[in-house]
Amino acid sequence: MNKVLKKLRSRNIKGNIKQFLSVIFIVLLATMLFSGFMTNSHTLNSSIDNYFEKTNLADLWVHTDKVTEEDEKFLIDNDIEFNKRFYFEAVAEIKSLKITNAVKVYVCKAEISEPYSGICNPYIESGKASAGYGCLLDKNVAKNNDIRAGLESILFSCTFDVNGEPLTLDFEERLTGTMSLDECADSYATWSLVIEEEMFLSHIKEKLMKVDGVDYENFEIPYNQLLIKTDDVQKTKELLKDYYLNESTESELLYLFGRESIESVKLLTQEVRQSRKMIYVFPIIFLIVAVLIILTTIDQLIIQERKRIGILKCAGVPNKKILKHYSKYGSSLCFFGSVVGTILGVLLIPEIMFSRYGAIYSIPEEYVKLQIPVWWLVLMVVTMVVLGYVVSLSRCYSILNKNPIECLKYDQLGSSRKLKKKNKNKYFKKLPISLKMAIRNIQIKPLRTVMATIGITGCVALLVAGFGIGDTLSKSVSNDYGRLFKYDVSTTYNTENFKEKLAEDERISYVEDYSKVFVELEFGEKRQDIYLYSIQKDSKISKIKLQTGDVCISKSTAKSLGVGIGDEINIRVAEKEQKLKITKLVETTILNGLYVCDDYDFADEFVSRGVFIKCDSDASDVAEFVNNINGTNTAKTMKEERANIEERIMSTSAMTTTIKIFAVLLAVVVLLNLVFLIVKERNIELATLKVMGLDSWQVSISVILEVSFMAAIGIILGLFAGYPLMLWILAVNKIQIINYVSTISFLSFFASILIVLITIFAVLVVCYLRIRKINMAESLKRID
Amino acid sequence: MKKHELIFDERYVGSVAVNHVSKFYGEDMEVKALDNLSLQLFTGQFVVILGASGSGKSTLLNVIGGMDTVSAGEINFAGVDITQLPDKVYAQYRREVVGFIFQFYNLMPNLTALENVELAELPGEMLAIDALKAVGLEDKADNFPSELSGGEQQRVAIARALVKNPKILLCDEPTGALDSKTGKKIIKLLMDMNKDKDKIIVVVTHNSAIAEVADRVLKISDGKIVSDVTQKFPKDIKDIEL
Ligand SMILES: Nc1ncnc2c1ncn2[C@@H]1O[C@H](COP(=O)(O)OP(=O)(O)OP(=O)(O)O)[C@@H](O)[C@H]1O
Ligand SMILES: [Mg+2]
Repeated sequence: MNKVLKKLRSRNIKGNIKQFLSVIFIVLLATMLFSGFMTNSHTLNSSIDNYFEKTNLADLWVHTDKVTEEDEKFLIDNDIEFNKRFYFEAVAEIKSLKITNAVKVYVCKAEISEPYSGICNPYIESGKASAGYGCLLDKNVAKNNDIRAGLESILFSCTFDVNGEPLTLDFEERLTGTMSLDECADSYATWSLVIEEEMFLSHIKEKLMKVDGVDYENFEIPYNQLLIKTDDVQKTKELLKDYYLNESTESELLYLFGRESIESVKLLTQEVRQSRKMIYVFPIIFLIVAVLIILTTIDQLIIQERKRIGILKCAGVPNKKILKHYSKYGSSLCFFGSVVGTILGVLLIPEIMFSRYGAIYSIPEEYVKLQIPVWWLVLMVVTMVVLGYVVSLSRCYSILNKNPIECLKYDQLGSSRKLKKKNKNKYFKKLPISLKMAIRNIQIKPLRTVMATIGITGCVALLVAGFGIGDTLSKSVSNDYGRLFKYDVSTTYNTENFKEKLAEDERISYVEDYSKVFVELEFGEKRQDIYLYSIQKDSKISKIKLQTGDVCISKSTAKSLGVGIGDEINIRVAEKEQKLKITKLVETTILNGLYVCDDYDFADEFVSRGVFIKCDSDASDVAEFVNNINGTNTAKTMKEERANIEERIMSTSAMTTTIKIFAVLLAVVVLLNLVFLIVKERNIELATLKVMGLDSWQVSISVILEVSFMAAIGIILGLFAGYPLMLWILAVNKIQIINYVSTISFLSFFASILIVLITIFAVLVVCYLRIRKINMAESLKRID
Repeated sequence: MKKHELIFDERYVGSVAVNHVSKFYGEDMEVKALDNLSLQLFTGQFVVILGASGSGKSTLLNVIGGMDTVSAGEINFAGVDITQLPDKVYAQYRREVVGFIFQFYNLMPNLTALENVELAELPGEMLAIDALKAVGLEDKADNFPSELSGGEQQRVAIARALVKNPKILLCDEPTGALDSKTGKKIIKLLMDMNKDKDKIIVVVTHNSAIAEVADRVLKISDGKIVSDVTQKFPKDIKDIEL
């Protein structure tokens, strides 16, 4: 008997191959997304840990005016592991290529080659560096500008304090290799350069030799950064603060921050958190639809099988065996689908995602460690199998509870009485027959209707969300650069005659001052490091209109701190403190922070001065000119700034494509499954209609109406669900430094509807062709 | 769609000529369901086809009714070879010329009796409710098939065939699933439909008693006609025992 049942099952699978394939496929999609995102998240996590560990990323960064022996002694006494570094910003030029750009220069010890023993080691991608030798350029810069290590030289200047006077020296260093520095992995616009300190010192000495009255022999590198490794970050931080705030300490603390303030570290860890949440966003929708598809397919199968179940029962096969027989359908399909989906997900999704991460965050490829969360995946497969088992079991159970005669009855329409009551309506009677058929079919199969409707709703909602995210991203980018601030070039500077030089250029039509400083904001228990911007009173650049005394805070910062208009906050720069009262809120994307008017009495404390420039000609030419003025830090065009954010939100914007593709796949699977279910179930009816001489179109019309009805409901619900879904996805994908200004354009709704309609149309064409293909003689043979 | 759109030669309406028709199945066409079969049917005849199971009776009905293609030969209705008709006209042929009655009724389960008949209504022909009256089911017009007995369902099926006043009425074992009394009623109904002698009625059956009331009895074996008897004096339906 078991053998016969087994045969029965394999033949049933053959006979219902399309339904089974759609079950497998939807389970596959759901598990593929889940396992893919899961693996991606784990891999990203382990790769980043691996990267940080290999390059020995610091836990604390200390910026001071100088590093004294006293400082070092303090650290050694307290058993704190540290490295010192000389850091400065400059404008550099690649000699042979004549390209200039702002550059961050790190002068550090020889331990920039493996095995790593220093702190914050650069990862050397090509070329080499060793004790007394090495000048390494950011590998992305090298790649983008086609700079080959060993062949090019880089020109820059640096100002030193010699005998109490500033002295600017020009350097020409030969590039010995390319590297990536995890601290700077996010700097797209600014280059980073690592120079071995012994070599640099000898070059400085060579130059100082030619200057009169300088004790070049005893010149030392003016270290201004301490990199600290510690297990207890908070404690060490407090310790250092106390030390530097002490009156007797000679050196002055400028900044002290941990990993959380390093943008690239922040981005990477956020990416991990975000990738973890992604695991749940889509798979949930797919899981719901998967359950419904399994339910309806098994349902359909069992209805077909009713007679056979009845016969088996009459033949004395025990209920248990019948249940086991049929519940195996669900579980085996789910098993198959989830195993294939898991494998595909593990293989494909991290592969696709990582090709992006690699580019964005410059995680060296050899640090990428594929990590498969085996137990999670096993758990998922088991869950899917149990799900399939339970669903088919419960359906089969309800049939078995009927008596065998009922099962054997030819009548499929147990609910006709229900129909009759509803359809007594005289308006209903006047409807065309095909419409009546469609309506009644929908009434008879509520589960299937729900499945199809949810499928379409999901598809439309995902599409709307996908397009909406696109809208939101572009609005967010132009919110800051375009709406709030409108200029061509901006820069910060540190020399007095900078503005005079600027005025010499005729292309520049307007210059406006601003300044920005990194401050610690305190509100109640909460504190956060943010930027304080000072803007001119009647700014022509900024939309943020400020009067004397106005303090404007970005909405996202306000939200995270819980402050509102009228609240008083405390800000601190270095050792100075100031109380401010919030008077305004502004929506920003990335330029989050505080905005004050430039004649605010606090304005004296600003460290960094900057200008917004408007010009008549090409902005990048002007930026280049500005960069060439002595004392410019980094002149950037607004376009570059925009590109900068666009790159940061690349993972989110790339996701929208994935969303859209999966949305269409979802609709296709659900609709095809629906159509095949209907055509199979009504094979005899449809064939009879054909025999009666209705042409294929007339035969199809009721099915088409039925599908269209579900589609219409689905579209409407989807349009409503799309916006909340978008908000949800954006919330899940939130990056701390970027605040999305959510919006959806009318066009996005239109595009979503259009795509769904095209999909539905394509499926209906398939449906029509299937119906046309029905062979009347064969279908009416009635094998069951 | 109007009847005259089918370009049949009116002079010949009424006769169906099956000429050397074969129907093969299988990859090497090893199964011969119809084997070079020729046959002419005339208007007004009540034809009964008998034959063992698997002899090709259903296949013959199917090809005449335009439900199935032939492997060779032609089927001529009113001067037109229907096997060569394009799809659209073929459907029109089925809709306007042929009526089908099946062993298992094949009513649309989610349409009421009346709606099932309305489905086959043709402009200018009988109304659905009148067809239902003719089979005596006007009071069950609003019942769904599942609320009707087998015999009633078959009567609805007959009404559905009747309503379009077909030239050819093909019945494949119409009494196969019914008891003898109900079966007799059904046969009576079929015969009544042809009172005006304007139709060809073909009934396939395993019940040789039915043959006694037929104008003509065909016997099929292995896809060939082995006997073709025209009964000048068929028995009355009341006198036979199904
Ligand atoms: N799709 C098919 N493939 C192969 N052989 C077929 C197919 N359909 C019918 N046949 C064969 O054609 C022959 C005629 O079949 P048909 O259905 O016409 O028989 P029948 O006379 O109606 O039998 P019954 O009285 O049992 O209904 C049979 O031998 C059958 O095996
Ligand atoms: Mg037959």
